[in-house]
Order: sequence, then C-alpha cells, then structure tokens
Amino acid sequence: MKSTDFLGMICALAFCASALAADAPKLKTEPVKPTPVAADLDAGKKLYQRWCAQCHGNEGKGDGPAADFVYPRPRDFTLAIFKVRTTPSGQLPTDHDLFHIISEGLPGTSMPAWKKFIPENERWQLVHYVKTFDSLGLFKEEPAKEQVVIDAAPKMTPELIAKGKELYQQKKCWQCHGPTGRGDGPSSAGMKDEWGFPIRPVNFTKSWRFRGGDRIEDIYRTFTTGFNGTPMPSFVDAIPAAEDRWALAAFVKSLARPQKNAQVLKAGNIAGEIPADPYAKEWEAAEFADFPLAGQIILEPRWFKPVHDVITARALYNDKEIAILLEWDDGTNNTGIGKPADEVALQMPVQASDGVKPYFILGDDKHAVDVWRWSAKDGLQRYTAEGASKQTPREAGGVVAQGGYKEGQYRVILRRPLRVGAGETAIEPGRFVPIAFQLRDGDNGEEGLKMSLSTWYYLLPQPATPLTVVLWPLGIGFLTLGGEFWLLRRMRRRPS
Amino acid sequence: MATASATPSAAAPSAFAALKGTYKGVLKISLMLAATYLVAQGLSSYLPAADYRSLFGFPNRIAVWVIAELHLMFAAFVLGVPIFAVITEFVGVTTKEKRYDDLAREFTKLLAMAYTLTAVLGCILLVLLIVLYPKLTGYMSGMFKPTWLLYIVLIFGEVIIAYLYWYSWDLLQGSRKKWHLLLGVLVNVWGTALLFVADIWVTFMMSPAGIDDAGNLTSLWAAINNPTWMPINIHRLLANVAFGGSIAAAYAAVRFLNAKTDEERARFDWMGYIGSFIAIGAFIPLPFAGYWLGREIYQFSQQMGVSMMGGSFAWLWILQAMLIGGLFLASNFYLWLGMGRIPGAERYVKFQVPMMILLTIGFIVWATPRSIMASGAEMSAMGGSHHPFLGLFGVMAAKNTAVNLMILTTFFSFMLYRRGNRIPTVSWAAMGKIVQALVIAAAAGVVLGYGIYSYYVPSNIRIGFSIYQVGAVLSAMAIFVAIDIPLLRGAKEIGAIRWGQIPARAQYALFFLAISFTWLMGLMGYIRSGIRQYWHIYGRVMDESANAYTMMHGHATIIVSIITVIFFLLVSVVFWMASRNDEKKKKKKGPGSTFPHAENSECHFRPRKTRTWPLFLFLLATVSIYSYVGQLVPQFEEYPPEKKVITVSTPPAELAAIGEELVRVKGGCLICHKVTETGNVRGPDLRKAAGQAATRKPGMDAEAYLLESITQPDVFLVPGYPKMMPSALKPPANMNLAEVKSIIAYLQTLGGAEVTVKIVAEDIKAAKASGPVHKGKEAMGIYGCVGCHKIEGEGGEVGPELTKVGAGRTAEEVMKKILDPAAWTTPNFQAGIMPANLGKSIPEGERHEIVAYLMGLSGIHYSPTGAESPWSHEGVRLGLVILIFNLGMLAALAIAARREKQRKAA
Amino acid sequence: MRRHTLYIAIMLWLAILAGLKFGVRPPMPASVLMIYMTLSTIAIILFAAADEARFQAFLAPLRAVFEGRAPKAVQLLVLAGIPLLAGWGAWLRTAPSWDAPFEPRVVHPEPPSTFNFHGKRIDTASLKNPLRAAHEKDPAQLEKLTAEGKTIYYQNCFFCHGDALAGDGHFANAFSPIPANFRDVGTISMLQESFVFWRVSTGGPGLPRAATPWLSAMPVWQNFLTEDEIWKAILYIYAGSGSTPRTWDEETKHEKH
Repeated sequence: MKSTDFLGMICALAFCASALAADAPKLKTEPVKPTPVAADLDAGKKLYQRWCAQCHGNEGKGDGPAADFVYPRPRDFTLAIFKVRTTPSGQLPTDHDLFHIISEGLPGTSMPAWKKFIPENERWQLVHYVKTFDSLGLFKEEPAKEQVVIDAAPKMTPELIAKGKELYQQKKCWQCHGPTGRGDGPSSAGMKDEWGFPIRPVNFTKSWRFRGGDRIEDIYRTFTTGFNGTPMPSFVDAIPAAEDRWALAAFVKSLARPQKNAQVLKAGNIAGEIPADPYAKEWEAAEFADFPLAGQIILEPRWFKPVHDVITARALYNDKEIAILLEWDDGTNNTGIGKPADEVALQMPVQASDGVKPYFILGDDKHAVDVWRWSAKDGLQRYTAEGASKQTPREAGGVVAQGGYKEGQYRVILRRPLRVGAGETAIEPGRFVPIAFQLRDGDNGEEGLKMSLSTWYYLLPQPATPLTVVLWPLGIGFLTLGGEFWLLRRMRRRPS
Repeated sequence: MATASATPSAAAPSAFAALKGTYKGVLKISLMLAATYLVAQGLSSYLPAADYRSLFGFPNRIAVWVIAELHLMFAAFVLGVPIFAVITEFVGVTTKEKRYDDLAREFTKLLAMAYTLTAVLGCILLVLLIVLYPKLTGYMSGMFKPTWLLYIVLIFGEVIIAYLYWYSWDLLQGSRKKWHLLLGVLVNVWGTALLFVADIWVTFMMSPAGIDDAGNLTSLWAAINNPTWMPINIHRLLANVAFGGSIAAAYAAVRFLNAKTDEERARFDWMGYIGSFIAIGAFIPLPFAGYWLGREIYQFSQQMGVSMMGGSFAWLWILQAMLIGGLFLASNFYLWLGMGRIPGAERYVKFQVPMMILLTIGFIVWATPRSIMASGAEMSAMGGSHHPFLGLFGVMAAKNTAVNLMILTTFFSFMLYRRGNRIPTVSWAAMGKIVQALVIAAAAGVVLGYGIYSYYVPSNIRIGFSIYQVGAVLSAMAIFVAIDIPLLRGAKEIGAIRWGQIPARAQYALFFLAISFTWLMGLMGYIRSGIRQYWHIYGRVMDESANAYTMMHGHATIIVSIITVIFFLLVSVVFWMASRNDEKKKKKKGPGSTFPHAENSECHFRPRKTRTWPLFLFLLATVSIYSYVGQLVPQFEEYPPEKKVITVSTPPAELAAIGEELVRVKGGCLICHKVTETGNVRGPDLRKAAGQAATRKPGMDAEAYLLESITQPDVFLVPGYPKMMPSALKPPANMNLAEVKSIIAYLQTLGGAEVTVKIVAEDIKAAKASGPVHKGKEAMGIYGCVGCHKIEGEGGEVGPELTKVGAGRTAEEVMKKILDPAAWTTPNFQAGIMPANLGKSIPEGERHEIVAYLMGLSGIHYSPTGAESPWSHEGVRLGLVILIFNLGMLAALAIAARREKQRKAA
Repeated sequence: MRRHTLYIAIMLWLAILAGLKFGVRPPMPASVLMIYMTLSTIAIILFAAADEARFQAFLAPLRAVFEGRAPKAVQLLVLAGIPLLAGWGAWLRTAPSWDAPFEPRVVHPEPPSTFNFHGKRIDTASLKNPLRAAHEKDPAQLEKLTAEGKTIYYQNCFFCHGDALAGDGHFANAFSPIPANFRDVGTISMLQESFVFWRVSTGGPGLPRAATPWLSAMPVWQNFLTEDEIWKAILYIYAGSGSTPRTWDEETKHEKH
C-alpha cells in the first residue's frame, strides 16, 4: 500500500471518529434495515467479474482496463469510502445504500443503473461481494448500525426556497458552489478528493449530474450525511435543524434547470436591432434549446474525459442579420494563460447540397463546413474545414462575435448578415440549415480535437405563416361541401 | 386473335377442325418468331455496333422492364389458367356435373386468346433485348445456347398441345374424355418446363453459378441449377395459379356486373367464386415459397439479401405488407358477403366480429414497418430509431405469427362458407365439431406460443420456429378438412345457394383481388430484379449504361401502376372478345345453358346498365393509392460506384483522393508499404516518403524522385530494402502517368506537404492513347508472353513477333499453338523454346482474351468468351425448328383430312 | 343494436384513436399512427359492408340525412360538420410544425461486395470470423479470445454501446442516431459476423449514402485496431449480449436433420 493511501486512510478514520462523536446525538437515526438476501460469494464473484471488473478491477482497486478512459474514475473499493449513503458522515454505507447505487447508478458518471440488466437477487450478491474488497476489514468490524431517518419532504414553497437561499449565503455554500450555484465559487479551484484526484464542486443547475440523485430527498440526504472522501462535508453540525436543511435542499432543487433537448434551433423574428447584450430581455424571451454533447472519441487524439455535456442556444433574426446566442456553464474562465483557452465553435455546411451533409466532425474532403470559432483568448476565428486535418482560416466576412464570462457561465453571440454571396451557407426564413456545436474547456486541458461535440442539428429562421395554410383547409372544406350538395340533389331527386 | 377465339362448338366436332385450329396457332408462332429474328438481325446489322443502344432517348431499363413485366404477366396467366382448368375439368368428370366442364372451358377460352398476346409481347421483348443490350444478350445467348433451342421447341410443343386442348374440347367428350384430360395434363407439363427454362436465364442473372472468374462457362448444369432457380420456379408456379385464378375471377366479376339475365349472373357469380377460391388457395403457401427464395438470396449473397430486406428496398416491403393484408381482408369480405346468398349461413355471422378483430390486429402487426419513419423529436422520444414496444412488431417473428393467424382466419372463413347451408347428420357431428375447434385453437396456440417464445432465443434458433408455425397451420387445415369431408357427408341442406344473389361490391372485391395480385406481382418482380442494382449478372457483369442507377421507390411504384393499367387494358380486350363471341353464339343458338339458379327468390339487386367505366375508375383509384403510398416511403436514387477521371483541372485534393484509392486498390501498394501505424513493412513507410524524397538523391527534387521511384523503382533503392518493386507502369499495376502523378499527390498530402504535382495535357493524352488496356494484352504481360514475343513494338525477340499473327493464322490455330507449343514451329525459330505447359497454366478465360486481342490486332473479331457469334447459326436452327413443326402439323392435317373424307364417304 | 351500427362504428373508431394516441408510451410516431388508423378505418367499413343487413343499417342514418328524412337540426349539423371536419383535417396536415425535416435512414445498409482493410481487399461475401472458425472445437481458447475481446470492448466501445451492451453508454445520448443496442434482437443477432466486421472496420464514413454516413459517430476502427482485435471484440459483443451471429451453414444443417 502506498504511503499516501495510508495517510488518506488515517485521515478518513479520524474524520469518521470525530463525525461520529459530534453528530450522533443531533441526528434522528433508526436501526439499519436487515439485508434481505444471504451472501453467496462465489455467485457474487462471477457476477462482479462479468459486469464490474472492466472498470473497478478484479481486485476492486478501481483499476480495470476501462478505468483510464472514464471520468470520474471508477471507485476503488479497498478503502471502503462511499459517497452516497444514508449513514452519518464518515460511516460505512448500509447494504441497502450499496444496493441503491448498483441499482440506480451514479448520474454524471459512467456507472449505469444496473437494475435494467441484473436481477434484484444478483444485485444483492454484488453488494456482498463488493464488501469483501475492504482491505481494513471495516465492514466486518464496524458495520453501520444506524441510518439517518429521512422524513417526508416538505412542500417546495417560495418561502422555503427563500429561506434556503438565505442559508446558502449564510453558510457559505457559494464559496465552493458559486453565487449562482454553477460550481464556480472562489475556493472551487484546485480541490482534490481523498484519492488525490482533482474534483470540482457540483453545478447545481445541472441536476442530472447529481451523483446521489436529484430528488429533494436525495439532496437533503447529501447535506445530512455528506459525501465521504470528497470536500463535501455533512452539514448536520452547521445546520442542525432538519427543516433548515430541507430549506437548503429546496433552494438547490430550485436552481436545477431541466434539459430541453431539441432537434431544431428556432430563430425568432424580431422587428428592431438584435441586442448585443446577451442578458437583454429580447434574448431572455427567445426560445432556448439544449444540445447534448459527448467527448470526441472518433478521431485521434480521442478525448474520453470531457467536461461539457450540453450547450444551450438561442437564435434571433431580423431582415438584416441572424444572431445565435450560445450559453454554457464553466466553473473556470481560462483565457489561455497556463492552460488552453476555453472555446466554442459552431459549424454549418458551406453549401447545402442534395440531401448530403458533410461529416459531422469538421466536414470531409467533398463537403466543406464553415466553422465560427470563438475563443476566450482570441475572440472570433473563422475556418473552412474539409475534414479535421484540413482546416483553412478565412476572413471573418461579416461574422461578428461578442462574448463574455459571468457567474460561471459563458454567453457568446455570433452574428452574420442574412444575405451573403455565393459559396456561403444560405440562411433564410423557412430553410433548415444544419448546424453542429463544439466546446472546449481549457481547465480540463481541452484543445484541438480534444473537445466535446454534437452531431448535426438544424437552425431554422421561423418564417411567417404562409397563406396556403389557410387556403388548403378552406378549399378542401368547400370541395367537400360541393360534393355533399351533389349527393343531396341526387339522393333527393330519386325516390328511395 | 379472332381466329383463336372461335369457340370449338361453332363447328361440328371433328379431328380435322381441331387440328386446323391448332395449326393456325403454330403458323402464327412461326411467323412471329421468323419476323422477330429478321427484325432483330436486320436492326443489329444496320445499327452501329455498341455495348448499349438507346431507344429514341427512352430509358432502356424502363422499356425492357415494362415489356418484360407485361410478358411475364400474360405468361403467368397462360401458365396458371391451364392448371385449374384441368383440375376443374377433372372435378366435372368425377362429379358428373356439366357446369364444371363448362367452367373449365370458359377458363380455357380466355387462355386461347391470351396466348397470342403473350407471344407478341415475348417477341417484342426479344427484339428489345437484342437491340438495346446487344453485348449482354450475346453473352447470355452464347452461354445458354442449348437451353434457348429447347425453349423454342417447348414453345411449339406448348402451343400445339394447348390449342389442341382447346379445339378438341367437343371432339374428345364422353368415352374420349380421358384423352382430353391427358392433353390438359400435358399442357401443364409443357408449360411448367417452359417456365423452368425461362427461369434459368432470369435466376442466372441474379445468382450466377457455373462460370469462372473471367465469366466463361465451366458447367452448364451448375449455371442452370443456380441457387435461386428452384425457389423461383416453385414461387412462380404457385404465383401463376394464384394470379390466373384472380384474373379469371375478375373476368367473372366483370361479366356478372354486365349480365343481363339472372341465369348469366348466377353462372358468373359461381365462376367468380371458383376463381377466387383457386387464387386464395394458391396464395396461402406462396409466402413460404417466398421465404425459401429469400433465404437462398441471403445465402447466395448477404449483400443482396440485406439490400432486399434491410437496405434500400426494405421500404417497399411496407407496400408489400399492405397489399397482402389487403388481399386477406378482401377475400374474407368476399366470403362473408357470399354467405348472404347461402340459406342458413346467418348462423355463422356471429363469428365475423372475432375474425375481423383478428384480421385487423394481424394486418396491423404485419404492416408495422421495421424501420419506423419518425421525425427527430419522435425519435428522441422513442429513444432511438426503434420503438420499444412497436419494435416488437417489426421483426420477422411477429410478422410470421401475424400472417399465420391471418391464414388460419381466412381458412376458417372458407370452412364456414362451405358449411353455410348444411347441417351435419352423422352421429358424431357434435364431437367432430369440437375436435375441429380444438385443432384450430391448438394451431393458433402453437403459432402464438412460438411467436412469443422466439423473442427469447437467438436468431438461428428463431428462424427454425417459422417452420413449426407453418407446420401447425398446414396440419390444422389438413386435419380440419379431413374431418369436414365425412362430417358433411349426407348433410341436411337448409336450402340451395342462391347464385347471383350477391351485392355488386362483392364483385368489386374480386376485381380488387385481381388488381392487387397484379400490382403485387409487378412490385415483387421489381424488387427481385432491382436488388441486382447496377449489375446485369450479379457480381460478374456490370451494367455500364447510363440507365444503371436504381430509381426512387416513388417512380418505381408509378411504373408498376402503369404496367398494371396496361395489363388490364390488354386483358379487357381479351375479355371483350370473349363476351362478344358469347353474344354471337347466343344469337345463333339462343340461350342454351341451364345453370341452376334461384329463379323466384326475391331479387334485391336491380340489373343495371353496363358497368365498365366505374370498374376502370376503380382500377385507377386502386393503383393510384398504391403509387401514393410508394411516394410516402423515403426516396433515394442509387448510382453505381463513380468512376473517377483525372483531368488537367482535377483539384489537388481530389487528385490525392484518387491517388489514395489507387494506392489501396489497383496499385496493391499496401501489400508491402504502410500508410497507417499498422501495416506492412516490406517497403518503406509511405507516410514519410514525400518528406524524405527531396533528400534521397542529390540534385533531384522531391517530385522527380517520387516519379522515378514509382516508375523505375530499381534505379535507386532505399537502404535496407531489397530490389523487389515492379514498375507501376507495368503489370500488375499497369498504371498510366496521370495515375502515377495522382499517387504522388496522395503521398504529398500523406506526408503533410502541399500538393505540388501538376497533371499536364501530355499525361492525359498518353493515358488516352494507351486507352483501356485490353484484357488479353494484360494477360500476356502477366503470363510473361511479352518476354519472348514482340507485340506492337514491345517485347522480346526470342519468339516470333505476334502483332500480325491474325493475318496468317486463324483463331483456332492460335489457340491450339498456345495450348500445345510443339504443334508446329515458325520457320527461322528454334523449336522447343516455348514451355509446353505455359499455355495450359493460363486460365481459360484469359486464354480466350489473349486470342481475342491478337486477332483483334489484325481486325478479326473473336469473342473473348470463347463463344461463337451469338446469331451466326441461330437463323438456321430456328428455321429448321419452324420448318419441322410446320411440316409435322401439315402432315397431321393431311392425314386428318383424308380420314374425314373417308368417314364422310362411309 | 343494428339500428346503432353507424354510431357504434364511430365510437369504436374514436376509441381506437384514443387508445393508440394515449395508450402507447412512448408515443408512436405519426407515420405509424397514420398506418394503424387507416387500417382500422378500412377494417371498420369493410366489416359494416360485409353483411347486407348490417350495411343497410350502417348507411341508414346517412341516408336519412341526405334524403331529408332526419330532423332539420341533425341534417344541418351533419351537412355542416363533414366539410368542417375535412377542412380541419386539411389544416392539421398543412399547419406548420417546424419539426426537423425527416431524414430517412437505412438501418441495415447493404455492405459493399468488397472493402479495404489496411490496404487489403476484403470480400464481404466469403468473409468469416477466422478466430471462431479456427477454435470452433476448442471452447477454452475461444473463451480466452472472447475475454481479450471484452477488454478491447471496454477500452474502445462501451462509451457509446454501454456497459451492458444495450447501446446506452454514457456518451450515447449525445449522438443521433443513437448507438446500436446489441441486446436488441433486431441488431447483431440478425447479422453475420462479416457484416459487423465491415461496420466496425469502416465506421460511419464507410456507410452508403442511404444510411447517412455524415451522422454516424462510429469511428473507422481500422485506424485504431488490428484485424485480430476487431474479430475478438466481435466475439465479445456476441457473447456479452447473449446472442449468436447469423450463420447460414447452421440453418442448412438444421433443416437437413
């Protein structure tokens, strides 16, 4: 065992002990529920090697063949430190907790919800088997005896949320999680977990990444029990009253913004100028759409550990120009000092052709794409790409970018005149223009092909409703009426 | 045509008259074939030689398609109808009911007229093929010469027997009936043989066998008995019966709607019923034959199989599903309406509700597309292109289950219909009925059970299940009928069937069956032929004409609709003539037939005036709906792989792309070199080639060095590599300078450098001058002939120069010398130098190519397939066949005439 | 009962529509709903028309309206209602929805007859998994190769195709079309290994046009993996998803028994 591991372990133990001593009296607990299925370690081992060892390793050290390719890294079981628990901070999880994680998976990681694939009985065997990796014998010696009671959640009222917001300020949650909850607080940088890997505070707006789940009860549980092995402590000491923790949970829950995935980015028509300020009310009123992103794992160098998983876009156009507002959360603002600069890119086919689109990653040798790239360091650069290996810089040609970073979020407006010369992508009302997005997070060392990207979507400047929409129904209605009269005359003339 | 339609009863029955009628048919075919031959020969020699010719700008493929499909439909009709004509006649003999004999004759009458049209269409098709696709037709006819001759002989045989069958109807009655039945059986034997021979050519194009890599025939039998031959034979045999039955039923429907008397209405009502019965009966096993065919196609070529079921043609199966489901619905609808005219059948009306529910659910499952069309939003709601629930309906397991249940339901409808007016009187009636119900329920259970179970087993086991399902359904039907026959023996009859008392819409259902069958045949024919895509002969002979693309489904369905409409127009001409003859006959004889019908039953179907235009509108509406659905499925046009041409203005990127393809394929460079991390290391890494080129040879720039190292690889060897690379300008790569330059362009991009190489006009000119290398020339390079012989100024001088060998020697002699170098020795050359086994080691196809090349240098044509000119002796043979058959017929006529005279004299 | 035939038919039709529209989750695509409703409509009308008495009862209310025997209010309602319904139907079809244009995609495209693999010409028709063929008689060796394939799978494929091979890896939802679900009976178990080898080797860019190669996120694996590695991974995806490759030889044998 490496000495750092050992140190970490000592710390953890110390933490455990202190937490136990301090919290026990304040917390409402109940005895741990019994484990419903008896252990069959042979069966558990087989299942583990079949479904788990690829990431967690045959010895449970979190060093399986896939471990280097996932972010965050798979859990090392040998230290018996588990984040998502119903037991007080520092304690071991109950069997039911482990079962819950195996069944539901860990959102925001590559751990899937196994309940879809492994029968309940077998999942219990995995629980038993995973506990055998515990190198310190803690599961044997100090198994969890008490678990925290989680009462029924109160109703999410504005008052409760307001109270939670107050607590958020008061208890300095923002120091890590940022004033708007985007995980960009002043002390967010440089954090490490117990295993020595870098870790970032969670972004509260992306509730789909909450490891313990995003129900209000889950959030409450996290405040109450903390995430062992991470800088996230239990708040039982700091916020002893359960109703206060519920208020905070309600506030955090209220920050969450569900994803609104769409296939089409619809650009609304506005009468006057398109505002240059990304926070202007016209932009706030514009319809937004989320586009999920994934790591670029198709071309060398492949990138398995992306940070960004979504980009939000809005679009507006008037009779002169079209503008697209891109928003994405980033806990750090990298302008190219020390680390690569944060970047966003939007691509569209140079010319929309006969139903064939360019390859979704930077086009191909027959179908070029027009790339508008904005970087926090250099602002806008425009490229024509005919495949990843062939990107040619070109004049901005009327494309303008305005962007900035505020409260853990980038907002960049890209605009272009509506009417352009031949050889450029035609954007006009009613025409579906393929678009795709790419994002790079400098803090994560992303540059070049190390990035998050999307496949093709569409941009559509929404046209005014055409007249035919009214004419067709009218025409068909009258035609039917005519048919009726013909039938009427025929039927009434002839005595039945 | 008019002569053919003369009814046998018009003249007094005599052998002479029968033979005379038959001879007219033979004469007609003789004239048509001779005319076809003359036209084709004339056009071929008049038109300039070409691989393809065009038809005044009309797309070749569509022209051949339309005529071939029409020919096929008429052929299907004339081959299908005799099968059930004979069966009906046989039923008439056994039951001694005159109406069956009359019906068989009615069917045969349609046949006699349709023969002529079939032959006309066949001749047009032949001319089109010879004129539009001379090269392919030459190749095919050269290869299948023996079958071609057999085909002509069979045609004459078929025509003689079929016309004899028709014209001797009245003659061979009574005690001679058995001879007439024998004739009927022979018609079918001959017809089937004809079908099998024609299928040889079609299936060979689809799944070629028995030829070597160069396309030369190695085994005629293997080419005949190619993987899809038997499945297609069986499939077509069944389809022909179903098709013939449905057309006959449609004929009856039209006559019913036009009937003026109750008697006529009753007769045609009955004929429609029999026709539809035969059609549905043959239709039921058809999917299984189709399944067999599909399997053989998959087995022959997964690629073809996938393009049929999963790829571009998959969408057309939605239409096929719609048509088949429609056929099931329409036939049940017809049967149920028919039960309205059966006294007592109202007892079974209650079964219609569950049957309709079963049919509809079956149809819905059957019609659920495998690849669901969905918008992006719908797709993301479904979580992919497959719906988690509907996806279960899309797979073959569900389709098989659905279609088996639909078959079972339709069978049940038939059985209820059959039992309509009868009450079983046997003592075990109740027991029998219970057993029948159990059998049906058991079959349904097996079908459903296996259907559900198949979702839990791997595909190779699942496929076997369809056999159990089919087995259950077929045996249930057999057991049911086996019980039913004794059960209904001596049954009490509630009342006679009121033939003719059926609503007009039932006749429309029959008409719909015929339209749908025809359209279905057109569609499946298109799919079967279309999956060859841009191949004439799949995987062997490519269609290099401008028409080689696969059209959009929407267009294809419109053409199928047009074919269907033309077919019905032609058929209606046949029908019209048949009814006109009937009227003539009636005028002569007055109403004679006494078909049993309900004279005094209340008739709530008013006789109306002629209903032809509504039928025509109905036809147009139905085919339009089918075509419309064809427009709804995704539309692609698919083209054969592009041939890239290098020109002076080819942009560098494209040049490099062409170069890459050449490096990978034609050049075979990667056998030794590598362009990616993994690859061969016998030669230098090509990724570094461009970068190091400038430094390899002092005083030589990078481009020049690359050019030299590709065209003269031995001049400078990279240290550490042996001398082994052949020049790219020589075989096996055999490239031209432009191609070599494109490779340099590729190497430059590969090395990350800018493309500097430029194609100049000289490169192109040089490439053009050498032209496409003759395969024979290529072969002579590969097999080392040029090492000793000089040809066109190149090659060694150990052996004689061969450039002008064709002037002094015949092709046969050249071939002989290649195979046996010791045969003779050219003066002034040493004997025994040429290796004795060299020629034999060259594959046969390439030997022929070498001879063709050498003879071609002297302007003498030699077919590189080794076949003789396709039409040189055909005329003589054809003439002989025609002559023999005409003489034979004339002799028979003369004998018959003499006997006739003797009989009269006596 | 018989008097109400038309009303029963209309109610039934509405019930089917409601059932299909609201009873199926996730909702079925409009194209399928259209097929189902068309078939149901045809079935209902055919059923009504399949019996003379039933048909007359079905038509009677309509006749009454058209022949002027029904109460005036009913006549007006029906005569006005039909064109309104027709117009509404037309409006539903023409109303702009601005949904993404439907991009038809062939799910199982036909493989080319030959393709390039590291410069080697590979003939799809005769291609067989050499590892499976060589070790057919040696299950232990095959198991070992499959285990190696498992490692390759989890280092290269599971990001998209998922831990449990269900096409739901952690990157899966960012891609459209979503990655293939190997557990689905309609995917690899329907295909021969040669097809899978082609798809893996040439990836998205190797697809024919009808299969929208520009959308597929499948990498060109011959750039990353050797031939052996791809075959091993194929061994694993079949073993791991509990399916077997489609083979023709087996079926033929099966039938001859």
